[in-house]
Amino acid sequence: MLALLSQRTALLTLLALAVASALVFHMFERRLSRSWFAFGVHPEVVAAVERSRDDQKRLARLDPRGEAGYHRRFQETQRLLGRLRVLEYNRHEIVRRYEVALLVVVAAIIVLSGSASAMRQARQERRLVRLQSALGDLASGQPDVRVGERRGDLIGRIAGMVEETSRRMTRDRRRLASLENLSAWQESARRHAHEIRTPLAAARLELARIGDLASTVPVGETRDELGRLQVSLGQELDRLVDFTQRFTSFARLPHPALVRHDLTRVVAEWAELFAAAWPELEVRFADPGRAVEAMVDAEMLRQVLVNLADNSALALRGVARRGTFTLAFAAVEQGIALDVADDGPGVAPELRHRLFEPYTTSRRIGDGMGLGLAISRKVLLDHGGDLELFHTSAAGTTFRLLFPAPAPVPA
Amino acid sequence: MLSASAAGLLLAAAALHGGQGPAYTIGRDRTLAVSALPEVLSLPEVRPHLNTGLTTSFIVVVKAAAEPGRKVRGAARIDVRWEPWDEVFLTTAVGADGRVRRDTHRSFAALAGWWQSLELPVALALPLGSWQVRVELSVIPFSQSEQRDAQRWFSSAPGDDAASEPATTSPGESRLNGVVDLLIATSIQRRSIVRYAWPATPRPVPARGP
Repeated sequence: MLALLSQRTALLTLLALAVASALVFHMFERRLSRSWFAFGVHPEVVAAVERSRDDQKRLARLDPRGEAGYHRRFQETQRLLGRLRVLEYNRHEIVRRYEVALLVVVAAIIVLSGSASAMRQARQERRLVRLQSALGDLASGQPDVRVGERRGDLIGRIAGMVEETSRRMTRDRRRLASLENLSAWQESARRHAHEIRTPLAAARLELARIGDLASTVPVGETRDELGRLQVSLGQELDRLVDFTQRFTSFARLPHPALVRHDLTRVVAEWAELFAAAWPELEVRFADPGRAVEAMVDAEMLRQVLVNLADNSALALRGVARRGTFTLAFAAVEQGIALDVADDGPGVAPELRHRLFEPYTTSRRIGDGMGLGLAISRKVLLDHGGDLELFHTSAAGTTFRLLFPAPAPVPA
Repeated sequence: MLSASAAGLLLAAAALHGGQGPAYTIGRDRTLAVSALPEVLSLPEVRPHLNTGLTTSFIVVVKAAAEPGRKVRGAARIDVRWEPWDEVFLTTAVGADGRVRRDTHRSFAALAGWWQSLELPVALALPLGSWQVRVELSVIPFSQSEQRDAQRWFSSAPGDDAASEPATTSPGESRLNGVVDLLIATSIQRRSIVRYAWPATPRPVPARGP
């Protein structure tokens, strides 16, 4: 209702302005056109032409030999005089017609401008309604709100901010959900490790007693067999200890100690240090030639890179050629992005949607627990960033490590 | 110049004046002719126009009415032009019979005399009956050819020709100028500057000679 009233008021104001402009113009133009025309048919002008005409006649009398020429000029001047008089007779009508024509032109300009303005206002209102609806969606918590405004004016800029806010909210919500999920998994791992550790300690004690008992058996085939069994059981228990330790390390993942680092240097050092760590991989770093500062725990970041390189190396196992493991910074709107890419066979489609969940792996049993990516993502989330599967295909896989931009250093 | 309202006023004044009106005759061939046109040439609203050098046209319109409800209209035209070189009045009178009467008058008095003696056929083959005749006279200050000449001249007035501003006038602007010229040129029209109306009185047809 209020919008309708304001629209009507705006239209009335526009109409009043148009009428006032037309009247002012009409008065001005009336004054101007009449003066202009009056100048053309001014009595003094007409009188001067008349005198000129009569002079020709007098000259003819004084110079009879040139009469034909004077007569011709007389007729020409007379014709001009006649035309001026015809104009004088039609003076009011000519001026009126001229004024009407100009008034029509001005009215057309005003009407067209008014229409254009009204259309523009209506378009702005439609855009504002879209913005309002998007803000409503944002307030109600809908993810990935889109306004569909790409112009650089105020409304377009506000729309961009709404979309950016929605993007951030969606991302934060996703990160929160991931963190909650990982926390649940960590708690589960902690309990499992705890539950396993007690019987494992008892089993180790029992195995030691079996060793002690075996030493009392006379040397012979039975004693040898007991020795072999002790070694074999010991190895299995060691594997179980290792398994429990991994559980524990996932469950007790420390919070990163964030320090301002030059990521370029950290990554370059890592690439140099680990260049020969994976025989099946050639590690490359596209050095941007400038410092890229971020708040990171360098040790944990190195661990993430090791996890990713491990995954790539395992993915390339069985491939005849040597693969590449490339690290390069990527341009993003907000924060810092480090792309880690290999040219392996890619991630299987059925794994992609749960790739970062713990215990997700395509490897054989005993070849890993599928905790590497989960731990890596947890590390990045704890940094205030994220780890994304950016691209995967039969030609390779790219993971994107996202870090928040560091706060500016006070001068 | 006289406005339309002023012309209407004169029309009413002339009708109320009730002065000496024109006469009409209906000939044996049933031709309606008007004569003894009131001397309007020396009236202040007419006289100045006669010396402009333009052709002043006097349009005579006759409206005849007879019982029961019969109406006949007739017309004639008298053109008067002052020729300033020779200082004579040139007149042309054209009646309903199509005959053109051209005369030259050396003075205004001679012109006025000719005017008084003028008899113009205005309607042919008038039916039998008792007719009431009314004569209307409109004065137009210039002729059709003078109107066309002024229109042409005004349309090609200096400043509008292509030679004066060859580089600055775009085709669109040129077309617009053409429209404006046409609009203004067509506003130059012949309109009567004054109109009179009188009831005409019948005059007996002069007897034919032996």
